[in-house]
Amino acid sequence: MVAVSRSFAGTLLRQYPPADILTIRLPLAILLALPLLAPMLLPSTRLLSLAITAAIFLIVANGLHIVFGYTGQLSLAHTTLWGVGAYTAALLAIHYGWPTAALIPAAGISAAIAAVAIGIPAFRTAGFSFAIITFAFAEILRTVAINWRDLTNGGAGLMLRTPPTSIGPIEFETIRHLDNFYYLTLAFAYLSLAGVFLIRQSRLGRTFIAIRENESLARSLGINVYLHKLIAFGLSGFFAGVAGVFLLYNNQKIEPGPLSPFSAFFTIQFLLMILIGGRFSMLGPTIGAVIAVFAPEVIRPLIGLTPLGDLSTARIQIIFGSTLVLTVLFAPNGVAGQAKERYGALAAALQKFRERQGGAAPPGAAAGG
Amino acid sequence: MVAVLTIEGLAKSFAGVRALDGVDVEVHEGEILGLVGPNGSGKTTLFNCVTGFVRPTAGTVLWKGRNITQLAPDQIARLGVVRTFQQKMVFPRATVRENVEMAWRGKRGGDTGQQFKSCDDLLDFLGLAHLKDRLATDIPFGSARNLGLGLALAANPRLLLLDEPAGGLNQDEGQELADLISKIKELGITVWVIEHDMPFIMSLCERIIVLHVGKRIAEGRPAEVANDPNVISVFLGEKFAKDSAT
Ligand SMILES: Nc1ncnc2c1ncn2[C@@H]1O[C@H](COP(=O)(O)OP(=O)(O)OP(=O)(O)O)[C@@H](O)[C@H]1O
Ligand SMILES: [Mg+2]
Repeated sequence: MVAVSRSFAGTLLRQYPPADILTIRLPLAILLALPLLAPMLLPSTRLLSLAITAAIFLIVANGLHIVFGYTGQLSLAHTTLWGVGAYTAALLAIHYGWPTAALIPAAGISAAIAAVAIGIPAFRTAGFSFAIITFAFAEILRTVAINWRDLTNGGAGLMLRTPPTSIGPIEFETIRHLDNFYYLTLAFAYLSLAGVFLIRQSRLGRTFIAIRENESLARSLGINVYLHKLIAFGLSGFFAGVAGVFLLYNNQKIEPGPLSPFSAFFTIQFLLMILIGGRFSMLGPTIGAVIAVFAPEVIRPLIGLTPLGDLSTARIQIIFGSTLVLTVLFAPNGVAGQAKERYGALAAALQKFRERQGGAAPPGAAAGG
Repeated sequence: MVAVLTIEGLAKSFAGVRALDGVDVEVHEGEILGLVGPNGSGKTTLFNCVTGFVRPTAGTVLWKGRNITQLAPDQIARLGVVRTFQQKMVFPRATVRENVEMAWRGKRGGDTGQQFKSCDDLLDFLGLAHLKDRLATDIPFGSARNLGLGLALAANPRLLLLDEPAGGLNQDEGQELADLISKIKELGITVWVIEHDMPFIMSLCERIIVLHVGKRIAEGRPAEVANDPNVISVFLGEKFAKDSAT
């Protein structure tokens, strides 16, 4: 019996190499499809709201991934671009009544333009100076949002009471149709994921990574580093701007306060998301965003905080800080990086098992050493 | 003999240190030219000035008659003058194949275009095909060196500047590299190579330039240069200094 089942396992493994369907594609597909079931699985409206927040964060984080993860540029203006998108959408919706389908590209493009405008001077420098200059621009934009009262209504911000435009009979009003709004947001979260995937597969994405890996070498091979950094920043701004529309609909307002996209809190939090999720992995920002939103939920009962009311910002920061320390210590390439390593070990073990079973060397196996 | 690259009166000072002090060089089409000199004699600085990584204090660099002295490194590379680095010559967190894809440059305006049909073709040429799915950080030093050379080739060069490609290689690896460089020359690519290892450069190059404290002190065929009294005194001096240091 044992011998039979063993040889069956051997045959199966020979037919489906571990690097393929069974061990990675299928679980990954299931994992990626899971959010589609969230309205059925999550027991409360509050949790579904959190899932919406996670989806919005994910779009922002995927945008940051292009400039920070792929291109290796530490932008401290990214969440500000998210705010720029939200303000653009609010102004166009309030004053001109633009429909959602027009707000999304408009917000994306305006944030992309802001990104390029910041990038033109900022990319004259590199490393720390670049980070500081982007931070300065973020502060300028925050000050503008607070002080240009005629346009932005100052610290009180802009209110938007209209929900996203209905598609035929499907309404997105967030009180009665929260799950529809969730699916709409989720669709764009998936699109953002597809976006980073396609960029990673393209020549453009390879160029971004070349710049991250070795800027001088990239330049020596004829790559226009400055131009490609601007492109990366513009693309990341586009993602952030699109996410701004959903933030606006979700909160029904946009303001420049201490828990808004204009806050240093979010600047840091999104960088941490990518570091914790894994900055060298395509799914890193996704994992980071989901952890950022749901980890406090899991931790809250564990550390016995009051069940009512939210965790304070300070506490969330402490949790995030400690998570980062743990990540750096135990998974320097983030959760996704760690998973890949583990998978590598698993695949190697399966490979050995298979070789003992079948003897024949598998076709196209990576050379040893 | 057609001069493709002409360097005239090139000078570079770093905070008072004269790394290059009025250097003239002509690189001829289709040759393998050697550049030798003791440590700190300005060899890398000369390559840096030619490829736009360092702005010379004075002098001009002409590529096929065009003044490229003020161009940016990527512009110069796109014109067909591509260099390699002494260190950090690959993109570490990318696979070998991705490395080549990152550097790949197809047809250049007006030119005949790539010598290689595809990235895989180039990997075969470099003898790296079996490593193509490995991360560049994980491959042996000699292979990484070849990959560095491959990146420059993928960028579709007419003139290749190699900065100490044989540094750190053992004798067999050095010989393999010399063979590879000869093959590159046969593809119609002009090569200018820096090297410390005299036997390596003597056997590989048709012509050698010797640099000493930023000045060209000799130029000619390997046998001529080896017997030049200036060169002998510089290299014996260096050897003497090394011997007495240990
Ligand atoms: N960026 C720089 N800043 C300051 N000094 C420099 C710089 N680059 C080179 N130098 C100086 O210029 C001189 C020539 O250096 P270079 O690197 O060109 O020598 P090299 O011939 O390539 O030496 P090696 O054989 O060790 O590679 C040295 O004195 C070096 O210290
Ligand atoms: Mg040098």
